[in-house]
Amino acid sequence: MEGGMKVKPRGDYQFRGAGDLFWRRLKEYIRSQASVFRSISDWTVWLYLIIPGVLLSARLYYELWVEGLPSFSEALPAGIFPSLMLLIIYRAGIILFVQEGDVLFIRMAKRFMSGIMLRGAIYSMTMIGIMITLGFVVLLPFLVQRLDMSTVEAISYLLLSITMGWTVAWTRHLVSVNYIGWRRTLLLIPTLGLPCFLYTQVSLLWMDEPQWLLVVSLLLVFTVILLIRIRLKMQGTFMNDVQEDNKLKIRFTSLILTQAVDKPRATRTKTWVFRSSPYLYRSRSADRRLAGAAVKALFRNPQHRLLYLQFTGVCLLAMIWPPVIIKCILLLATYILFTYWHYRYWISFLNDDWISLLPWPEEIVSQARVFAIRTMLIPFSVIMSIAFSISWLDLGWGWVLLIPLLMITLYGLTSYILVFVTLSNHK
Amino acid sequence: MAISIDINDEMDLNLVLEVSIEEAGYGGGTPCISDICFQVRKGELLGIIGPNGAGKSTTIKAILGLLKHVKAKVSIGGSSGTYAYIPEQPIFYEDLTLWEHLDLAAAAYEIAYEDFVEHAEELLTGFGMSQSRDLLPAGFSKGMKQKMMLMIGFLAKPDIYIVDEPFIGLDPRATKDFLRLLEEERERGAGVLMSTHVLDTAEKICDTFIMISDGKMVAQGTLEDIRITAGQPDEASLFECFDRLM
Repeated sequence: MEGGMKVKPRGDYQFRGAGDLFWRRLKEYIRSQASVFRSISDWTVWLYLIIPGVLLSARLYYELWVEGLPSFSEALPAGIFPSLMLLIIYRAGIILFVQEGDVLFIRMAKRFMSGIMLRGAIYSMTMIGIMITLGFVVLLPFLVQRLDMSTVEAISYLLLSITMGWTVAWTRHLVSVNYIGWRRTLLLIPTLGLPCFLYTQVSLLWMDEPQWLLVVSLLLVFTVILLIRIRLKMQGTFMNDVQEDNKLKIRFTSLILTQAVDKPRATRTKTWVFRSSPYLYRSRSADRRLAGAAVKALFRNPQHRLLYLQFTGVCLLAMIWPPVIIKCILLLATYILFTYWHYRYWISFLNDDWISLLPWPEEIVSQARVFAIRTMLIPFSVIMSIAFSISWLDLGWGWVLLIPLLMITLYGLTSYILVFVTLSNHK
Repeated sequence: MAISIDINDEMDLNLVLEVSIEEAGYGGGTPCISDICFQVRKGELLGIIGPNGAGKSTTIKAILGLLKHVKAKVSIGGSSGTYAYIPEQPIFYEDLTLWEHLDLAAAAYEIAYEDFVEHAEELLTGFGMSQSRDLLPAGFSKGMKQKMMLMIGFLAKPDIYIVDEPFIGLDPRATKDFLRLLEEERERGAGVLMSTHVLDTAEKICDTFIMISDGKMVAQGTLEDIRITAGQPDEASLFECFDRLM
């Protein structure tokens, strides 16, 4: 039994209804969120960052009310405020607190299932309300002083924002549990885009006409009630419900760990790069086949591909403007970095569970390494050589330098760096 | 703790695997398995059977040298001294297609390219995987991944196959193809060490057995020997012997 749970007297069920089970799940969820927060905030973080941060923010906020807005606020267009509110509204999501294990027996008890989902819906909508209210309070000094908003107008606008948050959350939820893949993405664009567009338009048109804001809010409340009714009647979405819940439950954790852990990759069956398993080298010797596999794996991996493109793009920009001596230093530095990165990739490729199961002779690995890394560098080398030559000697003479530079960098420089890197890693 | 895996030229010519595990485990004091000794002859299929958690997979891992704490002697005989391991949980490289996995395995085993292409095409057809040739295995079903592991194993034509729970996830057609290929390999002279739970299939295809319970060998030999150890009559099935001994 979970720690902290009160033991019910003998002769009574531990979970008498959906309410008991919901509270248990809610407590677990809050506990897990708190533990994630604790993992990044020990007392030093509280002492040096969180407490001073909160105090400073409170002081700044107080100043906004008492000493007036900063001068830049005069230049802000009125459309910026609904756009900022939309950023918060767009984050709204619905957690229904269904779990995979429910498929065993709870799913069959309709009263339990709908009870948990309804409570989950109320909890999620309350949280959306709190989140939007907090954002609204932060913006309030600007709304009041910059847009001359009255109390009634502010409350009406808050109500509109909250009801819009609920509508967006339920729309997103219904699309997400009913569709998968590209259909979901395609449907989410209009189903989220349309309410967001309406919100911006209503905000800009009727911000000083609270009666219209309240009418739209009321319409949105009816829409939300309709969406909830549709949701509770919906059948056959259990697995998607669980998946959607899990995604939202770990949103905070993934945000915290985004820099520390790689995101799990989506399962792919088809590859868009090297689709028909082609051989990259004419020779069918073992070293070429191993090298070819490593190259194909590199360019098929979405994260590696993105990093390759980003790095090449940044290096390209850096290569265009500086004088030739800086260009040479840059070329050398980027080659060392790029070669080292690919060397590390090569090592991780060889250490992969499956690759390491195969009995590779040392000389094959050694020969394959040079071929693989040189091939991986080809796109980068071509782009950098073009950038270097053309930006230094213009289009006419630049092409003359291109081929020699490519040969020097790809064969001479890469080989030299590789020998150096390999030796330094063997020590 | 030490393990020695030898490619032994001086082994009995009929033996392809000789295992003597004094003790082995994952660390932390008490070993998971101990006193497990057996041999696999050319063309022999030896089944390791035992209940969940008995130590079947640990025995295989100890043989492959995958455990840190092992005191054992493992000798691989045969003409080339090679083995193929077919794991229970499929292992693969996410960014390589099925064909590239086969190609890379063939390159590592130094199989002539023309022979590889012919054999790989046969395997793809035999296992009904031709349509999946250029697909990434991450999206395969469990059974398809298992078939891929079997194909890679069969590609190498080794002296000994070490197969961990091969029937899990395989459809009847694939099971039949797997057994046919295994039979062909045994006729070629390859030995097979196979851990399995599927006792009725094991009874039909295995020549000899070792039964493991709580990390120790409780019976060894042919079905006849197992029956004698279990004190069962001549017509008793492997399941009845298993039930008696475990």
